[in-house]
Order: sequence, then C-alpha cells, then structure tokens
Amino acid sequence: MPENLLKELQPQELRDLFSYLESDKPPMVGK
Amino acid sequence: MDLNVLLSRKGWALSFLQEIDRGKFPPPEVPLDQVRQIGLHQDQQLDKFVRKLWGNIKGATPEEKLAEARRLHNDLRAGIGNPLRGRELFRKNCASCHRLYDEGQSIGPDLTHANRRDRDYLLVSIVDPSAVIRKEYLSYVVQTRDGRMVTGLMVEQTRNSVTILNAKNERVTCHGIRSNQSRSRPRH
Repeated sequence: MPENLLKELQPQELRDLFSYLESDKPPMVGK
Repeated sequence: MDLNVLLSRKGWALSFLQEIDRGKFPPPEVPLDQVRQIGLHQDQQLDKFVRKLWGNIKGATPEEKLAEARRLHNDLRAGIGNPLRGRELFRKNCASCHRLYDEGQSIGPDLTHANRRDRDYLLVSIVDPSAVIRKEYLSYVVQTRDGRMVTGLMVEQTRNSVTILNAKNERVTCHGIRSNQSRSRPRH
C-alpha cells in the first residue's frame, strides 16, 4: 500500500476503512 | 501520457520535470511514490530537480513511523467506523493491489485471510509496508537497453525478456534487458 495512504484520510475515514478491514464478512447494504 | 510511462525514461522524465519547474503542472499533483521512482534513474540532473520541486522525499524514520502508528491508533479508538463507507475507501485506495472478499487485484497479498483482527499488525503493515515483504511480492526494477525503466512484480522471465506486472495490473514485457539490471526493491 502507498506509505502515505493513511495520512491522506480524515480520522472518520480511517475508522471507516478499518471497520471494513477488520470485519468478518462483507457488509450488507441496508444494514 | 501515463505518468508511469512518462517517468520510465530519463529524457521524458527530465522534460516533464522541466515543465513542472516552469509552473505548467503543480508538484503536489505528482504522487510521492512516483517522484521516488525518478531516483531509480540515478541521474544527478533529475535528482536536482526533484530536490528543488519536492525537497527531501526520503521515507520516514522508524521512530517517525512508530509515532504515526500510535497517532492513528488513537484516532481509531476515538469513534466507530462504517464498514460500507470503508469498503468504498478500500476500493479507491487499496483494491488496485489487494483482494478482500473476492474483490480487488492480486498484485499484493490477499487480505481476506490475513491477520486483520490484529489492529497493531494492520497499522504497521500500512504505515510501514516495506518492513516485511514476502519474496513473491518483491518489486523489481527492470532497465532495458534503450533506457526504459519498468517497475513491478516479476511474473515471467526468459533468456531474452522479462514480464513485469505493474501497479495498474498490466503485464509489460521488456525485451533487450541490460545484464544485471533487474533488481528487487521493497514495494511502496
């Protein structure tokens, strides 16, 4: 991954990305 | 012209940097990963332009990376994320190299079965992606006899050619390789 990727994200975007990366299964639309 | 192609030859890269120096293109628009690629030509004139336009582009020290990981850890603990929005961010920033849940490219490791519940491991892997790289994911730099530089994963090598998978998941076959000029380097 690009080294500076996380620097370009806002704190909430960082939490959103990690929420997906740490998930057990793909998120369901509408939930 | 694609920026990777533009920077793959010394002469083209120099023309591009001269245009930036004349103010025709803003330096911040060029991703730092690609600015670093210019250094692979090992040319003093190019290096001088890079220093003038972008300053010191060396990567962070281990101490700076550790501090960055701690700062991000605090940001993560400050709230809850939305995985649907996170998926969009993954598609935009990560999926060109990594797979997760059957989407994305396989240039870098598949994250589906990676140790994703270990937040520290995940953070360090992103803040310092070059720290530990499996052999199959080493990036190669290939220089052809006519001066073209191509970087990416080596997917095939014959006596006369090398095929590289570049960051756009395109296979680029280089003929006329200069001897001892394919070398590995950490991916960024």
